[in-house]
Amino acid sequence: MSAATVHGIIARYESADALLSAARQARQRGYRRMDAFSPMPVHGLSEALDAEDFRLPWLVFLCGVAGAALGYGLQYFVSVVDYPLNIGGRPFHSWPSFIPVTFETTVLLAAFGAVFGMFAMNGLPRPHHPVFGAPGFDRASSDGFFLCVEATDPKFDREEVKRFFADTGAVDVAEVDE
Amino acid sequence: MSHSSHASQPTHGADRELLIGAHDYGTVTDRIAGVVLNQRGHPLPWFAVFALAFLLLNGMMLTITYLLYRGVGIWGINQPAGWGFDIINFVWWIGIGHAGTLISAILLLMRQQWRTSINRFAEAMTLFAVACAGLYPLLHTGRPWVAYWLFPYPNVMGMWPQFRSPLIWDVFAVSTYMTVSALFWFVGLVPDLATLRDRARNKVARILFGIGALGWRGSARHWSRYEAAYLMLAGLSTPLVLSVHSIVSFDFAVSVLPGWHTTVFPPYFVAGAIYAGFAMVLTLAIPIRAWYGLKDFITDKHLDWMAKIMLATGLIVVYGYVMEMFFGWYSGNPYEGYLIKNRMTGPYAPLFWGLLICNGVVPQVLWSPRWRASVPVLFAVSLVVSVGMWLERFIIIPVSLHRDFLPSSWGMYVPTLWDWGMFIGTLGLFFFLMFLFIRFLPMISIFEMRDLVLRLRGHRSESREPIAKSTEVEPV
Amino acid sequence: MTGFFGSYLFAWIFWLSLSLGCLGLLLLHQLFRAAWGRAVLPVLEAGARSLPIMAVLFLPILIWGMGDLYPWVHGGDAIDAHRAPYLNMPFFLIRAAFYFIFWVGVSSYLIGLRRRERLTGDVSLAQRRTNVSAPSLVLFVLTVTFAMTDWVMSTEHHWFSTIYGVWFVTGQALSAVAIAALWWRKRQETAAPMQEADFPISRDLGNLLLAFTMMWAYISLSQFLIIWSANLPEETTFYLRRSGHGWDVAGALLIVGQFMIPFLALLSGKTKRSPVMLSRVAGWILAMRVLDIYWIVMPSVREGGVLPAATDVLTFAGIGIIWLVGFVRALRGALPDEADVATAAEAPSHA
Repeated sequence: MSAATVHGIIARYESADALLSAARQARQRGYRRMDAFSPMPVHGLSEALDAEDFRLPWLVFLCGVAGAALGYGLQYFVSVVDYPLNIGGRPFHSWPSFIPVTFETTVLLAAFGAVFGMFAMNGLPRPHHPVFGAPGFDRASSDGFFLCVEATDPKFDREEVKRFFADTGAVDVAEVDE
Repeated sequence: MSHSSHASQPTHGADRELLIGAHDYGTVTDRIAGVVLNQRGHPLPWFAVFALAFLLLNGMMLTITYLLYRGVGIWGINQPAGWGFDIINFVWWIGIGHAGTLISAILLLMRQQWRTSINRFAEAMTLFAVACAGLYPLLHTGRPWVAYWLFPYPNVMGMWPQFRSPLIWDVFAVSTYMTVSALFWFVGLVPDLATLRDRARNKVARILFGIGALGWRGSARHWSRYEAAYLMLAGLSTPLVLSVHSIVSFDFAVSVLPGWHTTVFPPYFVAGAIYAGFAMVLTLAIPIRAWYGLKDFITDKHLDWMAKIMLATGLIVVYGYVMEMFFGWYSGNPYEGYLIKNRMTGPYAPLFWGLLICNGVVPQVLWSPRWRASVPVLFAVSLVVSVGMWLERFIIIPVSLHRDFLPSSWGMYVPTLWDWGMFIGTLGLFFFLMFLFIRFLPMISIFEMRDLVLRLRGHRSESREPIAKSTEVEPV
Repeated sequence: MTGFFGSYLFAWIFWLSLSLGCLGLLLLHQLFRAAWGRAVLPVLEAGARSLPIMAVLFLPILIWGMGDLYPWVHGGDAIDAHRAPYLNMPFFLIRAAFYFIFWVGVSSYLIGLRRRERLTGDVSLAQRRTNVSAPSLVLFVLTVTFAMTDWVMSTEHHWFSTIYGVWFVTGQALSAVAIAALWWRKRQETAAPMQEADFPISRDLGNLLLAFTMMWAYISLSQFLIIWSANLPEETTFYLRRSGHGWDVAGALLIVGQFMIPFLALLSGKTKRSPVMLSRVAGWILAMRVLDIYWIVMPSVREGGVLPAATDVLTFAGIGIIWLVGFVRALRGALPDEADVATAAEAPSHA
């Protein structure tokens, strides 16, 4: 099997702490194309992998601003421009009455931004991924903590990576097919 | 925008009471997923409640069929009380839903760890309660098949909705609330669906859970965005839930009717909603944790917290009553004064005094730690509060309407059998959906329970040291 | 003289609201005993200790200013007659005395308990503080509601609003968190170098400021929207009086200054993490609170434009100096905060 058909080498650790420290060491070793898998969020792991992403809050903020503009704009267009009606003598541009709906559209679009933005940035839904083929990977959704160094990493060397995993206390080490 | 981990409080002694027994990641996963994966393990009460709910649901279907055939005239509404059970039950149901959002969003922002084992369940309650609530205005329109006219869309009639009416605000508020609650609930479910996908033996179940899990693989990159999104959703849901019941209260408050038009309505409605919602969470959680052996996760500590919140929100509601009555008198407006008198001594007076007893007097037993610790007492109080909050909406709606400004237009509101059929039918719908949910989806958030295990015990139950550095806060 | 007592009432209500906000937060804190509250306890206690001074400063209004400020004193129409069983001098005085006795009583009792706890090391006293605070908070909200109805709302001849008490309670809490945030910066500068554990406190205070800012906007909007939509003559007087002579500009400034600017500033995690940035936002909020109280009180007690008179500035400064002297002295003699207790293993979390 040539390196091209291998997705990477994956190791399982016993605890969140072991995974976190292995990830930090791997980073110090110079591995860059890595991913870790855990059954719940492990704080500090994305920093350890240098995989933090701060775009999402901005996306949500911009979606919220767009929601506010659309909501208010819609009401203004409907009540002032396209279909002005006298309702109990209130002005066409009744800004106090427009606040509740503006608020709702702001929240709605911001929430869309948060959820769909998060899934899109995560590349989900994605029915299959090579790591699912790793032996025992179903434990990643209950009690297994995995670290995978991918074959595309510039410093990737099968034996070297395996040795590194063994040194950092991995319980199981396996190759993941592409 | 900011987000931070919802971890971070040092583990207090009291927090340890949130999870009882020797649990690790594997056992919490097994226990909660087992309820869904072991379809033979469902106790007899599940079938009993489900059968009864199904029966009531079918009763509702009959009611709705007859309603569509004859029209809303089969209900007790007429002049002067044009709003009756349809709005009472709409407000009651939507209020019940609010506790779910409070638990999942506000308590997350306040980093209250006790939310973890009840949030999923409470969010489901929100969705189903809002579904029940939504039926009422939909059917009250009389022609539900053209309900989409409520939404602003360019149409051949050349008309638009009227944005100065609180009823259209309601359309936006309730549909946004339903959508955002569903998203919040689904986002929370994704990692758990992945767990079920990986553990299900049945092939069909595996495929279905797999579709729902969207290919979730627990990647660290994914988790970090996931947590950020989850926290922002909580930040958005918190003002949203306040806005929804405030807008419901505007349905009444922006009118000029005594008993409806009062400025304290928005916060007072929100508090009442949370009050009723926590009562419903307790009503459901107490039997279910017993039937499914989940007392390790939904502990007495959880019940105690919920009882305290119920007491606090109940007091705010009573504050609302005091303000209404005092300013009804203080205003010097004869119509306002008459309304208060009519509530106390008019034809519906027994309901008013019943309301004060249910919402104002009985829950005061929760001041006593001993009474709070008694599960039967809590269960009874939560039922009483549900009744009280229903009575409150009755007092607000028909009792304000039935005495119009002109005595010649006075009348009475009496619900018909069809009104009752519809109300009891939505109870059936609610329990039907709730019990389906309990059976087919994890009713406790599994990944957050694993997170709680990590936080409280540092993985193994023997080691009680919290993992210091890795769980510290990292504000962004 | 009308001008003078109007100014005096505005100044007195502003400084009183700081003390009441501190007392309210103090009571609230006892229910949660969160880390932020333990860290800012001294400032909350010091704020509450100014209450007796504020009670004394009420006397000039009671002795000389009643007739100028409160139209019901003169009676006259049917509504005045209807309200007379509540709005009459003797009952007004009894109520005022009751409010102050309760506020001063509960704050000194709580501070006393904490002092005893410090001296004796008796931890059970902390539980007693909680037990006292829960019912006291209920009574606190009721007394503030009725006090503000008596002292501020009744300057309007016929107007009333049922959300008024909640409006004031929220605004007061906002002021108190702002003072706490200002003090927290000062403490950070004078005390030992910032510890890692201090970041969450700055962030929690920031989140509280954000929450109360939003609450204030929510309550203000609710009241306005309900009154504006119903458009009843007896209720719109409040907003009509504030819609000319520059009062509308002041109102718009409040929407921008007390809601939008702090809201956007506090959304960012950066603001909340830095005590310096946070204290700037807090200072801005406090300035807006002055304008808010001015906007609520002034148009009811004085005809004319928005520009402040000399008496406004003088009374504001005069009462302010007295309040600040009392506050600083109380702060100097205050018990240390309980931040050190924060990590104690069995920190109680009763509510």
